[in-house]
Amino acid sequence: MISKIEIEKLANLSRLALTLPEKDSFSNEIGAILGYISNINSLVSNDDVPQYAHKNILREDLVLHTTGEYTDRLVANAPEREGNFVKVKKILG
Amino acid sequence: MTIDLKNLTIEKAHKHLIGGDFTARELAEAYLKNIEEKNKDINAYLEVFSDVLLQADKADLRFKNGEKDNALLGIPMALKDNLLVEGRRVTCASKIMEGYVAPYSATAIQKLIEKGVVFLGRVNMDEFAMGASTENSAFGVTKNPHDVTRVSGGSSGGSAAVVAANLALCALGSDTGGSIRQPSAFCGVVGYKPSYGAVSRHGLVAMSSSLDQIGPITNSVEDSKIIFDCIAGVDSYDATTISINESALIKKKIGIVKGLLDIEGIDSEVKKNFEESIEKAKGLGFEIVELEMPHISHALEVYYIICPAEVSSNMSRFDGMRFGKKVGGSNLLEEYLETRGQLLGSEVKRRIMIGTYVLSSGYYDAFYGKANKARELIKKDFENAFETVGAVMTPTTPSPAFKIGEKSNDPLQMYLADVFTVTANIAGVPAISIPSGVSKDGMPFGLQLMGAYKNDAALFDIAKEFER
Repeated sequence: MISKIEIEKLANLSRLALTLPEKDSFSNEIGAILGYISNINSLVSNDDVPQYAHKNILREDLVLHTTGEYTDRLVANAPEREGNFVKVKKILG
Repeated sequence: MTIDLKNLTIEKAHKHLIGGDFTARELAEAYLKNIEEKNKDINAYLEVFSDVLLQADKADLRFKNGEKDNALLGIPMALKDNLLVEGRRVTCASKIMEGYVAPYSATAIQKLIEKGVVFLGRVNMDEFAMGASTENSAFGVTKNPHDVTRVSGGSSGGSAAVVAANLALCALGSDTGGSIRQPSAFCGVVGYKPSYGAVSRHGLVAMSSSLDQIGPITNSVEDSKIIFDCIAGVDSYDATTISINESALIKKKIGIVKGLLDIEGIDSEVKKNFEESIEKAKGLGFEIVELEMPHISHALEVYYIICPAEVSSNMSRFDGMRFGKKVGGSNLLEEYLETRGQLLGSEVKRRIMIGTYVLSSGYYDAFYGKANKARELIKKDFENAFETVGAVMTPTTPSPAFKIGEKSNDPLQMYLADVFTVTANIAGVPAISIPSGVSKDGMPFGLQLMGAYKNDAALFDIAKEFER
């Protein structure tokens, strides 16, 4: 179990508004899951493993589509639009 | 002729279609009729497309023009609701995607469109593919066609259920930790997860990008191979795609993992069924080798660190501005909080929060860093195993399909349903679930075979032996 204060902090970092019952159930459930995944510490020590082999695969930054080809389809999916712009709340105060 | 949907495969349907026994339109009509009559019993389709017969007519025209060696032409297929088809709705069984229309088609979908596959509709899943029962869908659970009081599995539960109930000849699903294989086992059909990178993820709504793969759910191993061969290939839109090996000579040895069935919570009937599969393998001429794979019993812990970490990152795009729906607020922060808080389901929220936790600066090394190291150890276990054996065999699931509601209040218990399947995603190796009999209650068992990385063709060959 983790505390409700920790759940509130996590929810805020995750940009999730939670209801009171959710805070209660999550502090039990997430606590149990974190307890379970903590077993990883007995499997791996800090220094006994090779570095993992992921690498970046990059491509040239090229324009692949004609201007405006997808604009309407993409903007149409936004909850609010104004012309060809996605309409959002003010970002700077 | 009356079409015997119950015993139909892609192979058989193709022969009938080119032989003129029935047309693609008649085949599509037979499925639409079944959907009309039976979908309400299992709640699998979220949408049946309005242009199914139009698609079938186009296929029939291609047959008329002499197209003969395209096994997928006119084949009716259902699609998991996280695959983009240009101009069609996609919801990922989530309220937050309400009203979303795909601006382009997934690469796998595009390849199937070119082959003339007939898409019947979108089928149910756990919200954003997070779950093992479809109980996390915003549109209700999909019931198991063998017993409607039980789950169909998940997250591709709709895909497996429609194939099992003859509401589609085949389906596409996606598999991040077992989401194709586990529901296929629960519903008694074949489900295939390709080698990581074999199939492009472009146009698959991302859950956990280093684990996700698109794959087929079918009535036979050959049917899965036919679909896989079509959708596989390098794609410039997905930098993680790879080219896979041609079929190699099959090693006539199958590995079983020492101690794997001793872990807690494995159903006794599953153990007995697995013993029978071992005997079957011997009867087919395979030598059984007991393998030491010391790290794979920890694959589930590794999975439930890496997966939520990637989920928390991938789900950040749902901000109430770009896609689907939003809940208004008095300022920007409130809109983020309320949109995500109100429109995402519990399991999605749990995983976002666990991911945020394991990636936070104080815990990163203890969780995410270690999980990535453990992932390499698990990969090494598999590399060592495939020096000796052609496949590693396990049950697909620790129990047959469980009752609806049985695990829905205990997320950790639900996670344990993936205990045998997550390993293949962690290691990136291909894996297939094939039916291996039924329980006393008549519920199907699945046998999982895992193959060497990039050796998908060899795994199909081995799985076909078991089908005899």
